[in-house]
Amino acid sequence: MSIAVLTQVYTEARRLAIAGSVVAPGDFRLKKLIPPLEQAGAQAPVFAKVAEAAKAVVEGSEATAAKSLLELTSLVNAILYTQGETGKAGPLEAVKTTTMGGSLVQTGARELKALLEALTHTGSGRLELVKDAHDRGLFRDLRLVKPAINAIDDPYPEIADFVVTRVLPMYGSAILPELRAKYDLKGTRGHPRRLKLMHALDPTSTRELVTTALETGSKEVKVAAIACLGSDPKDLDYLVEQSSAKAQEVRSAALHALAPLDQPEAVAVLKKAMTGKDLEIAAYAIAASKNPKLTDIVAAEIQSILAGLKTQKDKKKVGEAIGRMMRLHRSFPTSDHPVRNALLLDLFARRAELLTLKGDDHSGVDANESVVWAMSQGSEKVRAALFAAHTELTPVELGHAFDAARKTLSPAKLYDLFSPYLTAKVDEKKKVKDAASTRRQSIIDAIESPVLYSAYWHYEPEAESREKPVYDPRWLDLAVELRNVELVSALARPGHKASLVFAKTEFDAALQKAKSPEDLYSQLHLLFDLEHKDADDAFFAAMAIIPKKSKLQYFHNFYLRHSYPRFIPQMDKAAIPRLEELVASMPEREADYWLDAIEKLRTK
Amino acid sequence: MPTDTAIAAWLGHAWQLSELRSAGLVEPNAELIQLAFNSHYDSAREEYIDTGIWMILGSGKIRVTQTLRPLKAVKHIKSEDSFFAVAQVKELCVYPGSVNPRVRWDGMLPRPLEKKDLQTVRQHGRADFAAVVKEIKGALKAPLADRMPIVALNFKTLGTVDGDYVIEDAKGERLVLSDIGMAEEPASLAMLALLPKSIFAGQTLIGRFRHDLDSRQLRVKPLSFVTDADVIRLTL
Repeated sequence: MSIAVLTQVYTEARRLAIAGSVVAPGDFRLKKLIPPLEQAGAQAPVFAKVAEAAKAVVEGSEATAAKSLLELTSLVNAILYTQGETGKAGPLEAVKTTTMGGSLVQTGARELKALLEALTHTGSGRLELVKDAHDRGLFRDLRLVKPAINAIDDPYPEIADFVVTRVLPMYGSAILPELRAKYDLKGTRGHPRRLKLMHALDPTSTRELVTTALETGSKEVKVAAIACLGSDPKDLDYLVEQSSAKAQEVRSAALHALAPLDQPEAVAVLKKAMTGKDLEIAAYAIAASKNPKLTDIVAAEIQSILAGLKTQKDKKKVGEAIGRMMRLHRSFPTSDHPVRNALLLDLFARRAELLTLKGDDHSGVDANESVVWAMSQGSEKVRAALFAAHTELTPVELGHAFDAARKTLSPAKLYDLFSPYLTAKVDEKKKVKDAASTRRQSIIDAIESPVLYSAYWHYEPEAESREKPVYDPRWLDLAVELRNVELVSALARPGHKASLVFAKTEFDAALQKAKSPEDLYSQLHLLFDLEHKDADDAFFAAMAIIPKKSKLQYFHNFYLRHSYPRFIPQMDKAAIPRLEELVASMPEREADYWLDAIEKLRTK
Repeated sequence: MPTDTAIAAWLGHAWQLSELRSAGLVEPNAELIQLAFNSHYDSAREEYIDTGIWMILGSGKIRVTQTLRPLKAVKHIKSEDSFFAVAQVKELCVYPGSVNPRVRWDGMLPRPLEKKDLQTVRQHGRADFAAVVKEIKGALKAPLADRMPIVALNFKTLGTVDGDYVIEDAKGERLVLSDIGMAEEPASLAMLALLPKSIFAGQTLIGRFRHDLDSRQLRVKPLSFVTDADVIRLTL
């Protein structure tokens, strides 16, 4: 009761402080609280003191009101601060914990902040940061769990997909309550991902959610629910039925769920889908399933298309058939299977016959290139057959043969086999038409980019994380002779004398012509790759060039934020004062990227 | 100038290390371990505030470091970061203040954190909650007191009562954990359910007290846990 009066005095004093002490004298609301305070004061003297202080406010003049009000407020606050409730009665229950398993990681705040920004803001370069953090195991820091869960709704689908497939599964069932709490079966975007993730983490407890989603979920959630089916034998009939649904997303989800199953009904559905308008989605489903039992139906379909081409004269239909065949080459569930190996070797032997095919969209040359690409991704025996025939290949095919040989041969043998393409005499004036020149370029491209892909052949994300290939040292001597900056950079070995001289000469020449620091990026990259002693000075020389207005924004967004800061940790610590001087002249957002890089240099 | 409250700093006085030294506010040969760290932006003051929460291993006192980075000068002042070693400081300057005064030093030598350091922190933790609460209330009633003091608390059990997280000492005294009203650091309670079970008994919690005048409740926000092997940080 007495504390309640005190709380009221606190409220009134606060009101008067806001209104101004000049209106406090005579305040009737405060006045009404004085008698109960005096009554309480009979038992506890501190209340009498409060009553006195309140009286001084009410009965005082405008001149004394401020001082009296301050005294009253201080006194009441001091008393209330000693009256805080602390405990809580009731049975103490154990925390319902769902531990993440494994050991926890503690990351520095600066690094965490950058990662949190990447997970919660928009802008370019975020996916790389998130991937890098994942590779270094930083997501085992408790403080990242919630932001990672929230990234399921990231507007950039690549980030959302990455956290769902690579980051969140490592937390296991610990994140299920949070996922369930936010899941909305009528939702779009993040909610289908939530359902799939919950199902992957705990299929049994998620079964009911999947069933409900099939009945009443939004279209996107329903598609996700279909993709979760297949583990229960009862699902088969439903999936077969959905494989002919009107909506393509539904058919695609059904095919994905059917592909890992071995039942004849499931295989029959995929076989049928491959022959019709659903080839594209069936091909994806088969490739993703990695179910080797589907190799036979893919190979049989390719053979069937080839048989049909023998009698086909319509150019449009020939082009379409070749296109289908090319797509099927990318759908094999495994790269090393006797049936696939035999088919590829047979098709490679028949490439002269395939070359005669003429179609509207695609012709025999495309068919052959797709076979060659498939061989470069195949078994060792198939790869060997490909590069053994390197002299007979087109420039594009030669690049794939080089890739196949790189995966198979020792560095010295690779050099012996393919270096003649770099030393061959070429006609520099007819680069496009000169066969020797285009073949040389194919080998250069293959060395510069260890990840080979094109518009036709599918891109392998896993290839990015592969180790850098080891090359015979003689390649670098050749690259310097060719005076190709990118090639020398791809093969660079610190301390290689000829490269060091070449790199500096190239940089100095480029500096004379450069209109923006980005014009010097390749040359600078080479200097740092070679750990050239003049690399730091070259860096500052490049940064001294002020780009034209039209290029300024792009330069700020890309080069200042991402490209150039990457050189900084490779520099000498003596460069720190000059770097700090540069940072001082930069816009704030760019400066942040540089400060991080400078910190890495400082602590290296 | 008073040296038992932070009022001088509040009134705009920027203490120089030489002033602190001449006022005798120096602790020689101190070893400090960082227990929590956070960096937040104060939009009213237009500055970043990097706050480190440290324990002096010798005395068990909890001190704070603060680096203020005004927006205008942010490019010239390096941001602080978490510190995972032990800082050996020859001359620790302590700002005027009450429960957790601010500290600063000119030079520091880091040494690797050892398990015995964590053991020392745990030994300095307060195991009698009633006594801690009495002291905190005593400090809070001073008008110039730091409103959100930080204490190391050795709890017997961490559990829930009606859905609220609660820590209990050996005598059965309880303290309720809460994030409410302490927005400088990100919320930390949601992380408790992800911690290993071993954290919920016999550990040391680094907690920030806050008295809510409106609800008349004294609550604790968990900042980190100190176990035999680790400091598990919940904020940044």
